Amino acid sequence: MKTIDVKGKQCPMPLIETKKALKESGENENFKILIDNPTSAKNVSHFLNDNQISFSETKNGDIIEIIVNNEGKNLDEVDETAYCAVEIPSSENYVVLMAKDRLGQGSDELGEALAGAMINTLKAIEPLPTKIIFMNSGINLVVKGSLVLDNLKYLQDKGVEIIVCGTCLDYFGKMDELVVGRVSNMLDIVQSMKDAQKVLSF
Amino acid sequence: MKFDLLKLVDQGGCSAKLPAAELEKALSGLPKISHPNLLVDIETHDDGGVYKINDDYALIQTTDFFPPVCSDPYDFGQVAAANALSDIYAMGGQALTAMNLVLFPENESLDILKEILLGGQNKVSEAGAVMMGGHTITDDIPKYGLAVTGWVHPERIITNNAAKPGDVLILTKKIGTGIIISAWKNGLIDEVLYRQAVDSMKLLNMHGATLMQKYGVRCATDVTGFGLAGHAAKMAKGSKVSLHFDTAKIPVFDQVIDLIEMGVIPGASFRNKEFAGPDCNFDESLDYNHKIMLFDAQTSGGLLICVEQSKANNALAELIENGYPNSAIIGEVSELGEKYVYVR
Repeated sequence: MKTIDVKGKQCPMPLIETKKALKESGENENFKILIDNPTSAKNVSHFLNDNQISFSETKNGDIIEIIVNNEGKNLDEVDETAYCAVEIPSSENYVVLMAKDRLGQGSDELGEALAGAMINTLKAIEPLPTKIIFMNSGINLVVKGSLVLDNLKYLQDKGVEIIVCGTCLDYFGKMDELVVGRVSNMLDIVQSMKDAQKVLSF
Repeated sequence: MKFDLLKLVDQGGCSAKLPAAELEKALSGLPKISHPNLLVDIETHDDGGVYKINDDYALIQTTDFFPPVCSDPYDFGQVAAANALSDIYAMGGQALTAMNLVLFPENESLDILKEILLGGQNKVSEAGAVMMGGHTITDDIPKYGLAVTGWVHPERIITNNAAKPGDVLILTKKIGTGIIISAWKNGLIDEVLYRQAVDSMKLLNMHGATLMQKYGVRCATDVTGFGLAGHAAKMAKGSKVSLHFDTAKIPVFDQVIDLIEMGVIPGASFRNKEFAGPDCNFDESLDYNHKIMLFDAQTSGGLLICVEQSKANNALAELIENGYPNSAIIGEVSELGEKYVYVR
């Protein structure tokens, strides 16, 4: 396998070398990039992700090794919207249920902060949940004024389905204030929870 | 060029700004500040804070500093000062006073520091403001900037959250400085292009502010670290509208697309794309390189101005005549759609 050694090279040289190698290597030809700068490694993996180029990354001491499987994709013809959805292995299919707008009991203020932190943290969990379900006061997290709308939109863009209990929106008079997610019913919600291999219930 | 300031920047230093998402997390725990005289606070992520003194006078305060973005110390001083002053102009104000913020290595020649400070001082004088002093501490990587105080009439404050459907969007400088500086650092471009970028970064947005007031502009921002798309998304969110851009009309430095194609993509572009990308809708015809270009972090970038449609052509003509020859109408504002920013 061809090895591209960009150790000691400053940003953005590692990415430049990677792009060069992508163009030069043949279809399905793998090559290896050795990087010793975490920022550059992040940029390279970001670029590969953006362009749907499959790769694996391992860390060996200070050296980050990225193995690229170049499938001969035309870099100019990548449709960004097409890879928003995340392929989720069925073995790790789980849904998150938010039946409250805060986590735990005790301090409401703390509970609200924790709920925000939980949604924010979800972004970093691999794989992402297939669905997040919002019920009862949980719907406050998906309507106007919620502090986690951006994070939820991000998750939605990554392919996570946001399901919101319509009866609950009605009850709180917030149907018109829904910002993110799809309004749904109890049948859909129960079915989603039954089909999931795991339900994280908060 | 005798001495290259960029050599003092650490090796992996792709960008100095804390990612917006991280910053938001850190700020989220802080108690909210409210005061009857506080007219613009940090809530809307605006360019500076505004404090009302009386019915005719409000202070604008802002600060910005960063590691070298160019090779020559005198240039760097000017760029850093123009960049710090820019927040005052983005809010429609004029600068009154400035203080130096300096971090400088213990063992580096003081002549370099002197050049940086001279550049800053000259820029502050050009802005018609007064340099009052400053503060210096030692640090391995030099950093320079200003804390600036300016003023604006309380009823003529320009914010980043007052865009109205029907407004036309004008950008007053070319984009792509982040990519050009990165390419220059690695010897990938000639000095002509580099100088163009440095000259653009040195250019004060001062006359832009005056013209915005002349044309009754109420919404603008300066394009800096979050890139054009990032700042546009902030403006759209704050104003509850959607912004639409025509990529072909966006002024951009020569070679920028070729450099991106080569792989010259600073880390900040990826971070900006991650942060603001979900708020943007890109037309299918747009390739990856053009999308990335819109997220390029700018230093001392131009003003992104929302102006009433009937005044747009006159405002543009005056901007072009008064020191911003690359100004262009790059899009328009609509009612809020599904996304905050639409790019075609």
